[in-house]
Amino acid sequence: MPDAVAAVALAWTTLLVLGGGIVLLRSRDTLHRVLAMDVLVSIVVALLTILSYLRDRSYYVDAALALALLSFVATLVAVRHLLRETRS
Amino acid sequence: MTETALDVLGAGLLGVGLLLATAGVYGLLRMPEIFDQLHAAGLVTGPAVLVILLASVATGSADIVTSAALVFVFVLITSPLAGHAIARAAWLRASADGDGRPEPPPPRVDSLSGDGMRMLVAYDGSDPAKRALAVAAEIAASGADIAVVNVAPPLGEPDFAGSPDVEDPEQEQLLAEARAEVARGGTPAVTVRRRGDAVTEVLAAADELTAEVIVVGSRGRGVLTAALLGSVSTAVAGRANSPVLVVGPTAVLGEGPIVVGVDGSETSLDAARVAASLDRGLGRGLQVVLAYTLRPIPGASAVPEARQELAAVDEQRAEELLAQAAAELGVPRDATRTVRNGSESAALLELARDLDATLLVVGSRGRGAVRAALLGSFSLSVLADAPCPVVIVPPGGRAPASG
Repeated sequence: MPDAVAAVALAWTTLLVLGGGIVLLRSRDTLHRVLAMDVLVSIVVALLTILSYLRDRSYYVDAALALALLSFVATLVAVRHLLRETRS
Repeated sequence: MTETALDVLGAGLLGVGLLLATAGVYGLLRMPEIFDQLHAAGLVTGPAVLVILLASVATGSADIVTSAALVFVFVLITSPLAGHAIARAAWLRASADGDGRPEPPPPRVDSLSGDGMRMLVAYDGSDPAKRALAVAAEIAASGADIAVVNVAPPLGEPDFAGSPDVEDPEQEQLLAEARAEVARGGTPAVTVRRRGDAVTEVLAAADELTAEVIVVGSRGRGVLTAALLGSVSTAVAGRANSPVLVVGPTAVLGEGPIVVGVDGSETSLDAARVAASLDRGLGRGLQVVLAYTLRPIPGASAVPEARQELAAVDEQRAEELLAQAAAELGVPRDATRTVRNGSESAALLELARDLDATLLVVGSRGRGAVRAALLGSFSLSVLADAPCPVVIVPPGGRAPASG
């Protein structure tokens, strides 16, 4: 893949991270924040993946995997916590 | 050459992925409600990331492709799961708060308050529905309460945030029409707006209003056609817990008694009880009928005496069953009769026609449409060409409490 393409993609994804950050800041309650975090992590996973394309290193993708795993567990736990709060 | 092709493919995939992600983030920023946002978020966490991971094939590095494949599978599994968990939490929270609750609008009047029998008419503006409404209005004139429910088709996409408050002009129009029609008979009608699957919503409305009788119009489709093409009236009759009054294509309220078929079974006695309480309101008199057939006896034609004897036995048995049923129901003996005929349904229909019956009441075994088509359902076979409206009583069906 030409470096130029990956570089542009990387820059664009960085902008998206900023967009995700704005979503996070604007979220009104916990559930919105959980959703925003989920999205933000997804964007960072994409960012790391593109970074690995650009640098031609595979371990960035491994880092992305770890991040996705953490995010998934965190989302489930946060939601469960929220539900317990709602019910009580 | 291959390399160029791969480069183009990679750049294309990256472009698509970024486009999806951008659309998602934009949606998240623009949409106010959590359910709308979930849709946009799903675009980012799912397809966008997956497509960007797919672009790894363009790198030509085995390490990266392997790692990316792993992440691909992981995201494929976890992204819907996480999205679902959030959606579920949002849903439950909305139900707990009661605001933005994604449920059909509550009825305008939440109960039928009068003392009369509570009837719920399913009305959709079609000809069968109009007939059903007319029959219901006629019955209501003798002291019953009417509620009319219209079920609007579900919105194409479930509009979680907005639907409860969406007013459907067509629905309002239909209900206004129904109100006017019922009002001509001198009874005010309660109207109920619902949205979703017709059968489910009609039954839910009946439960909510504690309706004692559900009135539906029938196009008079045969048993098999109904099972194949779907028939709201058949489905309502099959699934309801309360008696369902089905107004067939040829049905008119007669001047005669209410005819109810019994066969000694518990279901048929339930039906007879319902008929009795309907009669208390209408005051048309009750006719309890036991239709029976002679047992086929091989070779009987050769010995006419034996045949007569056996027929007498059958007759006596039928009389006994009927007497039993009459005693159980507290019906005077002269309001009962036996009919000997080829088939129960044909006998009942003929009798209803002869007596100019107001209503025909039959018990149902509670078979669904498909099973009924295969096994033959007595109550359904009566529907198609009944001269009067038919009341189908489910097994264990509650009899209307008051008259």
